[in-house]
Order: sequence, then C-alpha cells, then structure tokens
Amino acid sequence: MPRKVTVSLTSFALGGGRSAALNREQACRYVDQAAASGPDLVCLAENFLHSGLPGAEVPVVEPVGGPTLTALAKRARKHGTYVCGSFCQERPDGSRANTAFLLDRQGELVGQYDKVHPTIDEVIGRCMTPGGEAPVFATDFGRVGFAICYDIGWPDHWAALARDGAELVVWPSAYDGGFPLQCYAWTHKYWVVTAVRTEHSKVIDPTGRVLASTSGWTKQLPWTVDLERQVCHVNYQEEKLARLLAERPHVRAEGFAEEGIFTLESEDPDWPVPRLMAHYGLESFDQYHRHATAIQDRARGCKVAWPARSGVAPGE
Amino acid sequence: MPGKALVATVSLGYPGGKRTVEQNLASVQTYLDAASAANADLICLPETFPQVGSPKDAAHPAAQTAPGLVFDQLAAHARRGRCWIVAGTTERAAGGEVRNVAWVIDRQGKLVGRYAKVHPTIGEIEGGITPGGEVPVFDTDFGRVGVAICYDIGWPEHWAALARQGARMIVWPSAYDGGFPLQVYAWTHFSYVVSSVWGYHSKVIDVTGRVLASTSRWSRLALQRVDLEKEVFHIDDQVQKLARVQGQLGAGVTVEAFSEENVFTVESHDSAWPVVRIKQEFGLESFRDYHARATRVQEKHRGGSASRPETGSAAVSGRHVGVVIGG
Repeated sequence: MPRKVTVSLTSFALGGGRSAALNREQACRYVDQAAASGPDLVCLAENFLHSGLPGAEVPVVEPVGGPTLTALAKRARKHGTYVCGSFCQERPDGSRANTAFLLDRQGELVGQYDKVHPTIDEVIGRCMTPGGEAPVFATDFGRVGFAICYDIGWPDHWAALARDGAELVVWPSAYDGGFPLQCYAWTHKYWVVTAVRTEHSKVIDPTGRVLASTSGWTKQLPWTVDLERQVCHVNYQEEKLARLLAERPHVRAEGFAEEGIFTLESEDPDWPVPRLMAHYGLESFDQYHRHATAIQDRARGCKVAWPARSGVAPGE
Repeated sequence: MPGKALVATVSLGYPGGKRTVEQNLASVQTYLDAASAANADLICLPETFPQVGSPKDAAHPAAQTAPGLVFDQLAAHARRGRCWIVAGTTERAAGGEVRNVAWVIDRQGKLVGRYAKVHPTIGEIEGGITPGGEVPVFDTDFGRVGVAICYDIGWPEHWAALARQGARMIVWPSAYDGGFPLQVYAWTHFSYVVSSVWGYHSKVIDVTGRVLASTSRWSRLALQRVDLEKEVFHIDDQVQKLARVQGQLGAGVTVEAFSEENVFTVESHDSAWPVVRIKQEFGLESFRDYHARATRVQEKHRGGSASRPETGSAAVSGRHVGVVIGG
C-alpha cells in the first residue's frame, strides 16, 4: 500500500503561555485541533513547556509519568494519533535529560530519545546528561528517528539514523534550523519534519525541498507525505520510466532537471512503489550508486583509499 | 589578501551536433579572453570540454596529452592572463590508458597536477575509461582547491575526503548541471563549490550553500569574487560581539548572519585584520571549533562517545519501555 502519512506541524512561535501549565494546555489544544485532519503524527517542539517563559534558562523538569505525558497520552488515545515532542525529564536516579518521546495511537510510550548533543550550557548550566544512542522506532506507518535541536551540528547522528533505516526524522527544536535540514534530507533521502519554538516548522521531502512550513500566521499545519516515495537517478532508466508511465496511470513521477533524478510515488494500492520498481527493473538512487561502485572498483582493480587529513598530494 | 580570488566559470549551453576539438577550443577561447579581461584568478572549464560532440568511440580519438594541442593553448592563456585554469578533458596516459581528468594549470602555464575521475559512469567504463584512484588537493596562491568530476557527485565520501585534506574550494567540471547536492556539499563542508557544465548553469556556490553566481541560457560566463579565508561561526554566546566587530572594523569586514540557521560568516577586507586576528581579538570561535569543544563536554558528561553502529540495528518497536502513562 502507498504509505500516505499525515503529519501535523505545530510551532510555538512567539506564543507560549506564562507558565508550564499553560504551555501544556497549548500542546494538548494543538493535538485536539489537529484531530480534524486525521493525523498520524502530531509533532511538538523541543522543550515546549518552556515556551515564552521569562526564566527559560531554568528547566521545567518532569518525571516520565508526570502530567505532560499523561495529558498528551490521553489526547493520543482519544484521537488515535502518534504524538511526539521533547521536554526535560528527571529520572529516578536524579539525572536529567532533554528527552524526545513518541506516544502511539493508544497513548502508550513507544520509546524515548535522550538528546545526544545538548549544548554546553545545557550540560554544564542545566545538568542535562547527554544521551548515548539514537534509536529508530517502528510505527504502524514507518520507521521514525529523532534529532533534537543542537544535534543538527553532528552529521554522524543523521547518518546513523539513515543506517538504521529511518524513513522520517523528526527534529524538535528551539530554533528554525534552515538549510542544513534540507541538506540532511537530500543526503540520506529521508523525510525531515521539524517542530520549533520559533516560526518555521517544516516538512522537507527526500530531495531536500521544503514542502510546507508554519509561519507567524499559521502555527499549525497538517501535511500528507508518502513514505514510499523513492528517489531514482535518470541514467539508463529513461526508457523504463517511459514504459511505466505509459502503462500505469496512477503513478506520479517527478523529474528534477538540474539534479538528473526523478521521484516515484504511487496512488494505486495494487501497484505500490516496490512492486513498480521490481516490475519495471528500476534501481533506486542508492542501488544505482552501489552497483556503479562495484563496476568502478573492478575496472580500477581496487577500492578507493580515501585519504585522511593530510597535506598536499598533487597528481604530478 | 591571501584568500581572495575572482573566479570565472564557463558553460557550453548544450552545443549540439558533431564538433571537433579545434571548434571546442575556439569557442571556449572567447570566454577565456573575456574572463581574463576582468582579471580572473581562476577559470573553470567543463568536463571533457574538448571532446564534446566528437564520436563516441572506444578508441577515444580526441583524447589529449600534456603537452598537446589543448594543453598548450590553455597553458599559453594561463601565462598570458596570469590565471589558474581547471579544465576537464579525456587524457591518454603513456601506457595507453584513457582517463577522464581535470588539469590544474598555474599562472605560469605549468601543469601543477591532475585529478582523474574516481567515479566514471558505467557507460564510460564500458567505453574504455579507467577510473582514477586518488583524491588530491592542490595549493593555489588563494588557497587549497580540490576537484570532483560529474558523477563523483554521488559519492559523499569523495567530498568529505577533499574537505579533510583542507580544500576550501571544490571545482566540479561536469556534463550536467548538478543542482541541489552541490549546495549540500558546500554547506556540509563549508567549502566553496564552483561548477562548470555543458548545459546552462555553471555556478559559484558560497560556503553557506547559497548560489552566488550562475551562467544561464543567455550567458556562458559567470564571474564572482570569493574569499577562501571567510569563516563560518555559530551564534551561541558570540552573536552579541558582532556589533563591536562591525563598529571597529567598518568597511574592513563583512559580517553576514543567517536567521534560520543560527550561523554567521566573517570575511575581512583589511590586510591588517585577517579573520584569524579578528577571532583572536574579539574572542570568536569558529563553528567547527565550537562543535569540537561541545563534543568534548558531551563526552565527558556522558562518560564516552555516542554509540553509532556502522551497520543498522533493528528498529525499536512499541511498548518495550514498560512505562505506564496516565490512567
């Protein structure tokens, strides 16, 4: 089946209440408001409980079974949607972490992710212990990974999520993030969905394009994405693609002139993308590059020895 | 100043039909002359530009040598224009092997080195092109430059290897435009990227990933000033210092801050105040140094480095955490 997934973007832009309790209510309101669009996943910002608080430096800390997760779990169950976001948690041993949570459609906790790269100020000033792992979670619509705010500065984090098969990465953050998010989406050919405390929470597709964004005027936005959408290189595939398009009316192929790629998306339940790829002998972008690497290595007689940091090695 | 250069890049505008090496050289010479009229420091020419439109023949009749017809004309121009040239061509080695290379020619017309395409397409290999195996960088008088050719765009390791070796600009001679991934590599490595293509869009891309200049359907030559000493900084704890930097250095500095990305760049125009001195005197820490310092703090408080298995691990599925929430 094509995997159409409706994510609900939210932004706490210049909003937020005067207390953590008001922010909690706002978060619940966002989930309630999103319900009309039949969401699969509602995304809340990093530390949304802090939004707009004058003493934002003082962390609002809750235990795992505290009021925020309890209230959001109720909403998740009521509306049958996954809900995610982040806030600071205190563990039974007294340690603290900036933690993203993922609640399922029954309101149960699928899992949590402790921010692996808190800022120096979070670590030293606010006693947040950095997490050590970046799990990818299985949901009923696909595999979801997390990066929180400052994690944006560590490409290894985003690469590890891709290696673990993440199809969608949620980035709860305090700030917009901008261009590097598009870079990660392109580099790993996955979807990136952001939820920020500033104005621009976004949906970015696997080609790096921003498809949707909240703004100062719309702080909530439902958007439907297809997690099956595949990125392919044009080389040696033009005729196969032409045959596919002639024979399958409910397939959308979008070509990108400068990049030399196309994407494939299906509206036909009988012809999901993996079946289309197999039937028409198409290779994904990654498959094509792996295939080419093997041929290059054979023709060269060896693999490439990538140089480490070093001086000049001119060809002469 | 040491990092500054006027970069010129040329596009071919999809020249159709059969063409000879002499014709290709003649049409490119027009743009070499125009670029040198503007005193360009570096001129970039597309992948295998002398062979465009020549028969697709496994014998590679138009493959070049250095010295040779194409090289000699480019070297003469480099001497005359006192400029660097990076140019793509197929080249026949002494042993008879043919490679898809980029020559790097200095202001004296000397071949400083060559880069042989590490990732030719499957079709090229079937047509007798031997893949290169090295990823050299080249020191120019405006900074360290690396080269990637066309299909190399699909291998992030290639670009990372150039950056690790200190390349601050990557020249990409190509057959096709390339588009977004070039901007991705620029941002990822805070490196300038200069493309030169057969089509319409040869570009100069900033270290922040922005396209600064491009040829188009209507123009074959783009010129852009760059500064390989320009640096990228994170705003944390230092954005407050910018007004003081600008106030003291005035027109001697360009500071550009990016709202969404939380970064700023600093470029100096005052030889008494190179970026390295600005950093020192105003206590600015580069983006890279800041992240390296943060990594050390994180590791100390985590008690080790983050776990990032090389092979994927199974996804965590629901209800493993055993925490019951609410009622």
